[in-house]
Amino acid sequence: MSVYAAAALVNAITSSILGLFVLVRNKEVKVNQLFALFCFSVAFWSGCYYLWQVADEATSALFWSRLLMAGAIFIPIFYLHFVLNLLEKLKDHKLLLVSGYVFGLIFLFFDFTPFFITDVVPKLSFPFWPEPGIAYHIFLAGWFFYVVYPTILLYRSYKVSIGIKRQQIRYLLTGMIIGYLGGSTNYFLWYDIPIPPIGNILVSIFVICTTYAIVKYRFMDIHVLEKNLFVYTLLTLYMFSAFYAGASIFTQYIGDLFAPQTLIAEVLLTIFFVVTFVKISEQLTEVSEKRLFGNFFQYQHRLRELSQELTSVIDLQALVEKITAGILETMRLERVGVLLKDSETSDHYKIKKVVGFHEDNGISLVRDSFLTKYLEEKRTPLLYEELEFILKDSLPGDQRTQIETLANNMKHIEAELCLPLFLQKKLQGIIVLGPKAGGEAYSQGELDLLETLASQASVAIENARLYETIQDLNQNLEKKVKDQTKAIEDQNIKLKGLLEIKSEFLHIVSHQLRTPLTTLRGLLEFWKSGEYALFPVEKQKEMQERIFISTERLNQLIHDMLTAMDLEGGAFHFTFERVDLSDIVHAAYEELKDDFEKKGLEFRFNPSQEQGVIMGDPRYLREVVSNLIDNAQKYTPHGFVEVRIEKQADHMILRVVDSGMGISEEDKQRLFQKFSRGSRAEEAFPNGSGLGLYIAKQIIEGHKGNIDVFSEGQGKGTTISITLPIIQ
Amino acid sequence: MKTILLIDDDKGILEMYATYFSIPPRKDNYQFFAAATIEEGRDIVKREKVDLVLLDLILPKIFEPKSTADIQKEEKNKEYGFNLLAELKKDAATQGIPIIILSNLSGAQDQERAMGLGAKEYVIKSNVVPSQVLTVIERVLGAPASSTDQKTVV
Repeated sequence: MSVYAAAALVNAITSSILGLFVLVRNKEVKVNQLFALFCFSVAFWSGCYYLWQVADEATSALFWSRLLMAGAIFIPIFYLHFVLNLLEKLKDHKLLLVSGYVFGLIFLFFDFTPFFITDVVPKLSFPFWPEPGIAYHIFLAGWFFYVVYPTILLYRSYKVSIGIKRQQIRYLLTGMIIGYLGGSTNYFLWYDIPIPPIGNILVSIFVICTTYAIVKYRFMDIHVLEKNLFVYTLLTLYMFSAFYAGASIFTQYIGDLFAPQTLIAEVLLTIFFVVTFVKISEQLTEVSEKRLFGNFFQYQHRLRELSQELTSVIDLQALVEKITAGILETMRLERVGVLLKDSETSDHYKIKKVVGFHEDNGISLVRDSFLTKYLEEKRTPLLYEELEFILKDSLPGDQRTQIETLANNMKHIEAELCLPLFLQKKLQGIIVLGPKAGGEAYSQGELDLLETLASQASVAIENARLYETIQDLNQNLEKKVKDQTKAIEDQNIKLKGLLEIKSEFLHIVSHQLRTPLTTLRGLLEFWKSGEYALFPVEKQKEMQERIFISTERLNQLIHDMLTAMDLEGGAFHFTFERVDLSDIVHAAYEELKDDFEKKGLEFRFNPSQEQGVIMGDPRYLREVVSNLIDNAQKYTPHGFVEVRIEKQADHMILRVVDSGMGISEEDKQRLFQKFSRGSRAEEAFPNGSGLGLYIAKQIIEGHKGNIDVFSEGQGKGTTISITLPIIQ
Repeated sequence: MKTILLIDDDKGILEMYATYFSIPPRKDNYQFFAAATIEEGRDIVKREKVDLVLLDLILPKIFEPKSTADIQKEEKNKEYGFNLLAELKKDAATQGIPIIILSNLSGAQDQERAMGLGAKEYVIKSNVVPSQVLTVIERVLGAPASSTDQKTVV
């Protein structure tokens, strides 16, 4: 058997196995079917090639060479169909594909005519090399076209693909190019170029590359789950080939397999194999782990576990720690960062946790909103690689700048992957991952897992946020309840105080009321008992006068009390109108005239030239003025009471000056203290009820005015002045 | 003949009771003294052999016209009244004199306080007319328990 026949046999076997494997793994899927078809065409070609090579006479060689060409014709057509399907470009290339199949069928027809292969002739070491007919040249041109075109498509797709797809296409493309180049070495001899088909064995490279892409990058969605199966298959092959090699060497050079000397060699060889077996097994396991299966299945397991654990963590910071630690450990990364929005509605991101990245660097990613917008739009993890490829395309200027900035940023901080955290379509945060150990690319499977993790993390983060919100609400509520309880308590204390003041007030007032009543009743008894007749007429008159004064005092007290109550309750309404203070002074004096005359007091009032007209409530102002004049009169045993009115800018000042007993410093201070126990104010002005000045002050303040008292001391007279704005 | 002292800062009251005791038959049975301040009252108690004191509680230390009858002052004056009551009950020379509180303070606390300090009766001034006060006086002076060693019949 020649080397070429052996190569063909290997090609046939390997491509058949690959085709079958792909088909069996997923026979429903078009891509798999087409790939299997392609494999079978290669296998058909290779199988016929082998039979052609081993043919020992011209007729059968010619038959097999024609039959192998039938396979060769359809290799590029199935290749085209497969590539178009894989790249999802079938729609744009329908016509091309149809033309391909037409091309294939036409040449399949010609294949068995002398127009294609005229005869078989010896060339170099080959006894039956086919001679091309006229149709063959056209076929060859078409063949190259259908090989090169899909390859170009693959290359273009490779340039723009990212992640795992890129890796898949890369290996497919490599395998195809090498395979086709190898296969093409067959054509030289057709044109009498003395190069044998030395590259034929390279056709198997496409099988190896595709297998690699399947195992490592799950090409055509084929998951080779059993790492052990893979290792054991290789070990079996090793043992088998070792045994076979040993056996063939022994039979060839030593002779009998069971001869005693052979047995010794066999024992030694067996020991050698046994010793190397362990080492080789370890090596294979290691290689398969590192180069083929990675930690992928471990990841899968651990990330799934992590996802489940996340749902049980309710504290936000603890959750973020867990995510970070989980990713770091599982994927063996050196750098991970978690950025989260301040709140669901905010646009501001905060670093929740970084490992390996510098904090400033982490936040620089979201300094402008480009990344977040980009993620929100794309909704998939963003790989640094991806940005590089995007930048290779032509882009509008500003977009290019933004992507460039982002790419530079990611490169600068050595971020490899941005994993968006979504909640109801809204980006809530980003997990930034550094490069994988050994600089390997993130595979699609890893990205899928990370996406699943991210969505679980988003839900967990949302839960933690809600929990936080509820906690906050709780605390706020507690605080509010406390505050309000406090407010109610304060109010209560205040009310209690007010109540005390009221009852104290009533107590005192009732005492005040009782005093005139006592006199009234006591004196009336003289009349009742008839004893009054015992007194002289003057004494009787005096007693009657006292009875009258007592009733007046009672009346005044009741009036003051009610007014004071009104003031306290705020039921005090002034009706403002034009009031001439002079008129009020006159009217007040008219009422008190008798008292003055009785005591021989002088009343002085010189109404100024300026009119004392202001806006005010005449009824209440008269009460004040009358009160002040009456007080002055009462506490001035002799001398005078003078009223002065003076205009000062936009105010009118009314002064009641007397030459009476004056007022002590102590009393002066108490005069205007607030009405309450301990610092009871206002009242203190003398008309018996102690409410007169309190009422006066309330009225004047109701007019936005002031009331003041001046006295140089006891016995030196008193001046009370009220200042009222002319216009309210 | 019994000696009665009324201490009250209201001139009208003092005058009224003076009038009441100035006519027969009271005139013959009682000698009536009036005091408008604590000082005055204390002097009379020490000077005269007083058989009974009618005491108002709100009393100024020295006489002032009613102009100062504000609430704060009344509170202070009330204390003066109570102080005088306590003082008289403490002093061995005067503690035997029965004291009738004749006041318009009607609070229960004030009444209890006065009784606690040793007052014989507590009469709310506006509730009674002079003849009723006399009945109380007679009852107090007539009761044997109210007599003390110091009290001598005149």
